[in-house]
Amino acid sequence: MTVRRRTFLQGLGAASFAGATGLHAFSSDSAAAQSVKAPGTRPIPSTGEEMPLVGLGSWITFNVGNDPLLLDASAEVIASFLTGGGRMIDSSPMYGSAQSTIGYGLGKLNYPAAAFSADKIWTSSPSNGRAQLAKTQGLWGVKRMDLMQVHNLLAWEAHLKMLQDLKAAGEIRYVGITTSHGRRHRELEQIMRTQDIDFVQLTYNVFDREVEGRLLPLAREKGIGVIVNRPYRRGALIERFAGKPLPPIAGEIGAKSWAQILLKFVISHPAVTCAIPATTRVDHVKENLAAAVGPLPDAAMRKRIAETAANA
Amino acid sequence: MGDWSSYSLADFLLFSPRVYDRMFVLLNQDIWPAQIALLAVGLIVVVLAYRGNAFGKRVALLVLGLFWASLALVFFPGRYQAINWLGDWLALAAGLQAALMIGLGCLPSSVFAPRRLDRFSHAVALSLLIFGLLVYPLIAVVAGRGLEGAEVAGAAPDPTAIATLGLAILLTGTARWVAMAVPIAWCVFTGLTLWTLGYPEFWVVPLVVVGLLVAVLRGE
Repeated sequence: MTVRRRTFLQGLGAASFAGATGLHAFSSDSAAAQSVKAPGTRPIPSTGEEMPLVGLGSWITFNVGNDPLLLDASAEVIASFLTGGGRMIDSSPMYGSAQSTIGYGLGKLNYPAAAFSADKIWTSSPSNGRAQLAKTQGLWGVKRMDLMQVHNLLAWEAHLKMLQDLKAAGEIRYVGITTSHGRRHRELEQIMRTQDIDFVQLTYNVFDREVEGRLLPLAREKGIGVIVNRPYRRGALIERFAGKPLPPIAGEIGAKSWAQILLKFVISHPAVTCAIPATTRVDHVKENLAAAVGPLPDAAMRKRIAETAANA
Repeated sequence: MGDWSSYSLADFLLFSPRVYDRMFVLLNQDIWPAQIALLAVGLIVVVLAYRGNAFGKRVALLVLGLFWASLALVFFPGRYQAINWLGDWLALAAGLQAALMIGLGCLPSSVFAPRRLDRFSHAVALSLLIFGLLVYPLIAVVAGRGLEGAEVAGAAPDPTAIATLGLAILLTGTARWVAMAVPIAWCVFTGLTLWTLGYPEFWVVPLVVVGLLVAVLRGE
């Protein structure tokens, strides 16, 4: 993210840098920052840039309008996410005021360089895409977005061409395309086979696993990064397992909650670059980031998790 | 959007109950003590409607028209648009409703002609007016959100739409149906919104529409 004001860390204290992972972290309390274990990372296939496995979505959670109390609460979530070692924050013009909320939160942090800005073009008009990008940059408060995606394949031919041109001109860093809820996978597959894209965003969780068959292997084959939305089915999976005892495999993979088991399942797939659960709570941000710390399940464990979840 | 059958109502919901509740809390803080004036005006409208003469209906139309204008100018573009990109379109619909009602209230028209309503239909009309203009703010209290989250006719759309439907029953001719279109559409929209948000009282506003339709059909 190219920041509007390069006052990285001003007023926030020292930065720590997890050199092995390429991950930035910052905090007003440098000692506390050093005590936070950085989440694991995976390289973006097209560049090798390391990306923490857990990102931050914004669907519903950051659509808080002009409410000052909720704006500050959202800013705390963003601060906690970045302090904890997270980078990718994802939004869309479709998400109400989420973009301006993110801009508010980043502004309070003086636009930390570690933040990785991911947003979308969401308009059926091929000619409106460029103007929408400019508005998005204004709401985020940045001059250059890291990743721009075509939202839900909407008018994707024109928008993707526009984004690829902008990437070539250095105005954005990555391009991608998104879908959700398992929709339009055949068309998405065709795009992945024929278009030059850095990322694909899709729905994947312990129950929505259709993408394991073709799309995730194809992403690996083509060197396309994968961003996973709805890792908790918008909270439904958390509710489903609420109050149920943790299975034995939790201890084997260092998971302290069902949420972490579910998230570890998602991010342990070798094709996945980053999962982007959304939340309004600081403790959930920390819990999500912690899921990317420590061991991840291998293929056999993933199979056990899926079986355990299905029977729980 | 390829497969519409894969969508649920929740996929179209952009905000959480927390945000929706806070929207009314902040609105009430900003307009206080205008709520008292709105309730007082609402009481006058109920009395005028009860008397049932043309003057009373005309004043009621003008007042509720101004209420819709308030929604078109303040609530939808200033509050609702901040959390739902449909806000500006809803403001346009509210503006059309305001123009319609003020127009009906100003122009000489047969819509004020005495109308034979059976007692049930008349009772429904007055009940909707009383409920929308005077009682609806208490829903927030009953639902546990407190008076600070109350929705008052003239400032919030749900009670305004309910009261408008009550008044529409008392009108005659085509004007009745035209005056009902936007409020009915809003009642369906808000019922679906509250249901998706998980509000236990989601059924209240749609029930108003059902009562309205029964009253209108009996009175035809």
